[in-house]
Amino acid sequence: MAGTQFTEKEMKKIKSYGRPAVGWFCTYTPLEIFEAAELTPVRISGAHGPTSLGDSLMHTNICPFIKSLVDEFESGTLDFLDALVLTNGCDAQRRLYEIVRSRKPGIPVFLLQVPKKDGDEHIERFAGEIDELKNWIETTFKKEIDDKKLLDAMDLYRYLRARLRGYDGARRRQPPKVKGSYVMEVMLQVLRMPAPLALKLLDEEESIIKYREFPVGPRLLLYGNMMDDPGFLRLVEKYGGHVMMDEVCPGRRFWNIPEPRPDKPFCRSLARAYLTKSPCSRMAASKTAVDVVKELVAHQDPDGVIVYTLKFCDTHLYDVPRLRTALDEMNVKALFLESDYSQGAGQAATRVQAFIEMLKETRGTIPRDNTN
Amino acid sequence: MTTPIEIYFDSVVDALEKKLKDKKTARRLLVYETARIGRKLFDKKYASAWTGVFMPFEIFQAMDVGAVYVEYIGAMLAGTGQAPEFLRKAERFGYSPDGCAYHRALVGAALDSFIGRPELLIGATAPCDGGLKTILNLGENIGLETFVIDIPYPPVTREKTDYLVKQFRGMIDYITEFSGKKYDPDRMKESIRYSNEATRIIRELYELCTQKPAPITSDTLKNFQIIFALLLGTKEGVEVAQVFLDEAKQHLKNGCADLPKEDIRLLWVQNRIQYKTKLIDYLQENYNAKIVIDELNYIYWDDMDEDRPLEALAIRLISHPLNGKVGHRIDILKKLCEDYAIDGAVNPSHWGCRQNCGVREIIKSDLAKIGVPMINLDVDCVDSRNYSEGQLLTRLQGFMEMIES
Repeated sequence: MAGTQFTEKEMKKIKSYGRPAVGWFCTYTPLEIFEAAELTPVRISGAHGPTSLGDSLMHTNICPFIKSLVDEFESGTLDFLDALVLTNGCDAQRRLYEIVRSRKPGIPVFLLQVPKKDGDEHIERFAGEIDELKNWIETTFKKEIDDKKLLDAMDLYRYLRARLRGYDGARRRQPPKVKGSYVMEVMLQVLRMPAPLALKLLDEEESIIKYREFPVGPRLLLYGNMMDDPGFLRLVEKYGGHVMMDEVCPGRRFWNIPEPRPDKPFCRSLARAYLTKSPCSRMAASKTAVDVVKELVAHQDPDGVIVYTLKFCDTHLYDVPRLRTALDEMNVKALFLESDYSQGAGQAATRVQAFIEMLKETRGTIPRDNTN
Repeated sequence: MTTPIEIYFDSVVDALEKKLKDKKTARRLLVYETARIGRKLFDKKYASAWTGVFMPFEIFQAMDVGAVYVEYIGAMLAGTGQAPEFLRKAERFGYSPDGCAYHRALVGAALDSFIGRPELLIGATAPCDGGLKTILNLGENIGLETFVIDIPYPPVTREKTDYLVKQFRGMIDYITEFSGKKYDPDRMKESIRYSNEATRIIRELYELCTQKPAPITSDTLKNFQIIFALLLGTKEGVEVAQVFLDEAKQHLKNGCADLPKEDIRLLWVQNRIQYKTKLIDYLQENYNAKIVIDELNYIYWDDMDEDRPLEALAIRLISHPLNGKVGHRIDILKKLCEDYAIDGAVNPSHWGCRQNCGVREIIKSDLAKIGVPMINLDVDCVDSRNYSEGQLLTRLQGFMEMIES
């Protein structure tokens, strides 16, 4: 199963798809455009280790995920990318764009501007941006994206996301059919392959988990941003916890998107869908990230919540006090972790263990089935 | 209930009113007039607003909205030595100590009921994430609806301008709905006229600073334009600008004999350190090094069309050098280096400012290509608790020796 780093084997695998590879990681990136141009979307991520060049080329106080990516670019690990699409999702990502542009002139890079609001004028504006991305991809890869190709790609991703929703639901069955760590591993693979192959992978995985069952301990909701370390979820499982749902970027925030209407212009349909999806903390939209956590807690009734935030992520860290208050008011136990991304799961082991022990004592194991 | 900040603004206004009668100096007048803007927050004739720093302040003037941006309050708290107390308060409440202290100080002060409650909260998506999250958080904490302006990146296009104008109209409706203040096109024209008049004077002032020696001290124009934003669109702003220009002309008339000597000309990148330090005096006393231009003291826009005020303001906001990609900003920094014959640049790299720190090495490298060395300091411009003067002086010493050699 894939971790988050790119191994030689994985790079070969991506190349074996026979399509140009385009790096991305922000969930506001409309992958349908990539698929319509027959590109492989490759979710890039850093090594969970110390950063050095990221610190010196940027600053120690920049998001460790971004600094980690700087190290990956500098080391040449990501040289296999044929292009890169970043967004203005946050200040750190905006600045990563500058670093890649200045240090890796061989990789064409596009900065997609995503409005922070979801009103009609913002949707219209984002549609214009998506259209610009489409034109850029057509020019960069000398491929034409016509309406049919785009509509087919939208259909494919609609289906893929529905399948991911279903697969994700298997960990909320009673007893669960799949562990949270395994769901994340599958997700990380899905996010680095063309959609048709991702569907095949899900077929295989679903046939495997059909006959599996796992004992369940305290059921947890994992909330965070760039949480892409299955090792952390394995740690939770080691101490008897079960991450039965997540609201993180390489998770629900990716697949929980309203179905884009098959109406022309398609870029507007995509814009509407993406701006109203499970929101990142960056958004000043009608539904906030804190609202989403409250809804998930109310609907899924987890035994506890783990809020896992990367250091220096202003948008998420500003939500922490409100989240703490909201969860207190809902009488939900929560563990707040602030990670520097580099040290892996181990640094949180004691706190995770204590948290799960506490949950076991206070609520015990309650069998429930919340597939949706 | 009278809040401490109201008392503060009152006392500044009262004290400076007396001093200005004795002697009208440019800095005194600037502080006096901006404190009067601060006082509007508590004056029933005006609607009170806390805002982001990238705002069309002329609209506020035309609608009788007393508006200050959150970083202004953060800087003021630092300048009066009160920031650490409020930063601690914010941290105790769960706000990360790694965030920008301009914003956190304000959040702490709001939690402490130090600054009262505004009628309006208006944020913008530029220049940074933290500023907008501060406004959104304040709104949620005090139960007030916020309005957010989404500012697209340069270059300016018809579509982006229309997008922003539409949002300004939404903001005007929001102001009217929550404060009862109405938009008057004639007052808007007047506001733009004042703004244009003031910026013409300021352009002339900055032009004078290209001369050697510049007719200012390192601190004459400290925080100037960023504070002056609050006066854009007012008659008082025109007066303040004129007094600064007159003072500079007076210095030139005297051959700048009454100013400290100037051997090395410095550019200050982004914002100043807001609490008291010895750094500026050290540079002047030991190296005759003077800050002749601040990056943020640059009029990057042309005169605005008073017949199309919202469009003109939209173009100004989109074109801001700190908005969007860094190339536009670097072009301006290079231009400043050339226009002002800069020997070296100082970037304090304010802790918690991701948008600046994230590109500081790119800026440094690009300025080096035109022969201007830049030093990146590591300092929090608002939070003095970890300030280490000795370390910074040592680094500045090395930097100045390098320039001298």
